[in-house]
Amino acid sequence: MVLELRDVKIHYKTTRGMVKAVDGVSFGVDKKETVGLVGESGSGKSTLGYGIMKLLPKTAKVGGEILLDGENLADKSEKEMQKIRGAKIAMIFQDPMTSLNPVMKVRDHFVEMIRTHNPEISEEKAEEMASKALEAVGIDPIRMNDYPFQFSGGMRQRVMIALGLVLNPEVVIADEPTTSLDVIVQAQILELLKDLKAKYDMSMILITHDLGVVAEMADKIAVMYAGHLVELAKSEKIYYEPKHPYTKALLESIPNTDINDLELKFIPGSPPDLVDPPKGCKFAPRCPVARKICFEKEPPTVEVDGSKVKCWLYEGDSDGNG
Amino acid sequence: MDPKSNVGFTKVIAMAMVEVKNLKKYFPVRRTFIDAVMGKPQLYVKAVDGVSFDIEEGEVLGLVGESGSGKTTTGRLVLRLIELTDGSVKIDGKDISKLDKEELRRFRRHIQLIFQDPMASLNPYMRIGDAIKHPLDIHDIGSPKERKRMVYEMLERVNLTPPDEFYRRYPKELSGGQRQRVVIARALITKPKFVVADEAVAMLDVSIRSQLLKLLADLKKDFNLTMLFITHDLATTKYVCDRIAVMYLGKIVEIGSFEQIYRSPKHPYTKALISAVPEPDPKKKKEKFIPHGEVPNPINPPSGCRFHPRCPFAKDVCKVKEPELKDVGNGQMVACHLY
Repeated sequence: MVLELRDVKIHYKTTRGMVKAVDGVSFGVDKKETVGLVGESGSGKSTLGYGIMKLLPKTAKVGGEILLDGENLADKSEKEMQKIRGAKIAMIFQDPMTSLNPVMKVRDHFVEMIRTHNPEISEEKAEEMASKALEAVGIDPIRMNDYPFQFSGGMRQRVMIALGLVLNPEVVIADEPTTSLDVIVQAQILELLKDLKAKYDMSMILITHDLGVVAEMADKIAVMYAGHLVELAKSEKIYYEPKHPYTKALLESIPNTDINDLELKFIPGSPPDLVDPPKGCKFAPRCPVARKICFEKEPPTVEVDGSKVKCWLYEGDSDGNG
Repeated sequence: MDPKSNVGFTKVIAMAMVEVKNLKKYFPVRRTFIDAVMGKPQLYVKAVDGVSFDIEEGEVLGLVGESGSGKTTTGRLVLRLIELTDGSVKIDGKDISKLDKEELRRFRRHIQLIFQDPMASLNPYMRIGDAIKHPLDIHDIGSPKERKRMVYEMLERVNLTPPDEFYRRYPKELSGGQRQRVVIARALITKPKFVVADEAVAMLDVSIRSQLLKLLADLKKDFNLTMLFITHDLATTKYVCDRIAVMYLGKIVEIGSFEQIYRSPKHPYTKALISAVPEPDPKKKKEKFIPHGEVPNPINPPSGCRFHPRCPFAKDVCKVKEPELKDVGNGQMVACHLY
């Protein structure tokens, strides 16, 4: 296992009280594996991504273990993290316009990034690495001398991806990499990510709200709701045999292009306020099959034919893991 | 339109609620003073370049396209929120481009807009009830007592219950989905003849988006809504739209019933849009048809068919001749030289 999360908790102190943005999440990412981290706004999926990179504001308290090749990132100082970020674990951000420096040429982004980690690499060599990385994502290396604003949205995202991959990190965290793009460009970027994944043997955590996007990319899917990991299983299992009522409802509410499926199902209500969340299962108030215990006690995570589910429905069917 | 309507002596023409003909909007590109002195020609962004469509009473037309297709500009033009460069927009028989300022102000109660971002379109200092009541106050509809009753009814209709509690709340006390319900309620309170919904569900999470789509589908039936539903996401059109128009670089490339568009899309661009929708079934590997590149610059659009540089089926004629919208059967219209 390249990356392993053990009972990761990320809590924020706010003026309104303590927010448990991520509350006890555990899963692993194997070599070459892509894990899709799915959830709606406020589920904690992006916070978890930033938490792994240790890019959270100082008000955040991180608990649990984040093991990268056995080393716990949670214990690392900022100085140590600077060496790890980009080289061993990299992040591709949602909006490349705000994450690229507008007054720096693309070339300089690469040179700075490469030489911060490896000061022994000459500028010429760094430039050579940059042109290879740009070629790999389908951009003519000549465009290295352009500024970010001279690129279209899809091209900027390609630059972001090239920057993420140039040092050949073991794990890439992609946070909604296609959300701000148009559908056709989104499809192009997804194809690119698939190709690169195979070429570079990398492991990936793909954070998205779109179950359609993860299904095309991920081997395993982790579904988050209100800071909890409610279901973790192979992609096919999630789609064909969803266990958690939230996963089921989420799958049913995705608009698709199947003309024969005209009935639109939806989940009533809205996600809970994390300052004052429901006592038992966080999904209970919106759950069609909630029972009394669901409102009183937080459910344990149990393993049911290969899927991990945090739900009272499966208490008792557990393979002895609950 | 009913073809029989032109037959006979009495000129009874079945009139659509909304008739848009050859709509154009050219935005001038800013020239520097020096460019002007040097005699550089004035350039225009042809955001909307000859768009025509009808919407019957009680019908919802979906307008689908990517960024830069001109779909939002079209929506603003048909409500006359911006002035058109050429063409005409008739709503319930009235050419709204010919109305003077006062007439237009009075006519606005019949034409309403549902905005994309409720946080930006609701006044944070105005109570929900007052925000929904506002159009009634402006257009002086009903007595103060009646207005309040209408707002209560509308709050119930969009499921913001109990209404007296929601009436008093402020936008920040509501969730994103609830705020969007307020925006919908405010748009419908004057019982408009025509509504434009511009990316009305785009900013919402999946579970909330489906709730709102369901609400719009229900309201469409209850109010017999005539609506232009603008979206970048083809998959959301299925639940509310009767017909769909696909736009590319300022032009409609295909228009048809939603069954026609979904079952037998004709234009290569429509096919691409459908195949690009991500498929949640991991085993169903659908055949993807993804064109290269991105939407080109509308200041200098490609010659002939604007899609030809990205189209795998492009022939010589596509480079030189602009295709016209042609009926390919049962009212499905396609602008493509393949047909």
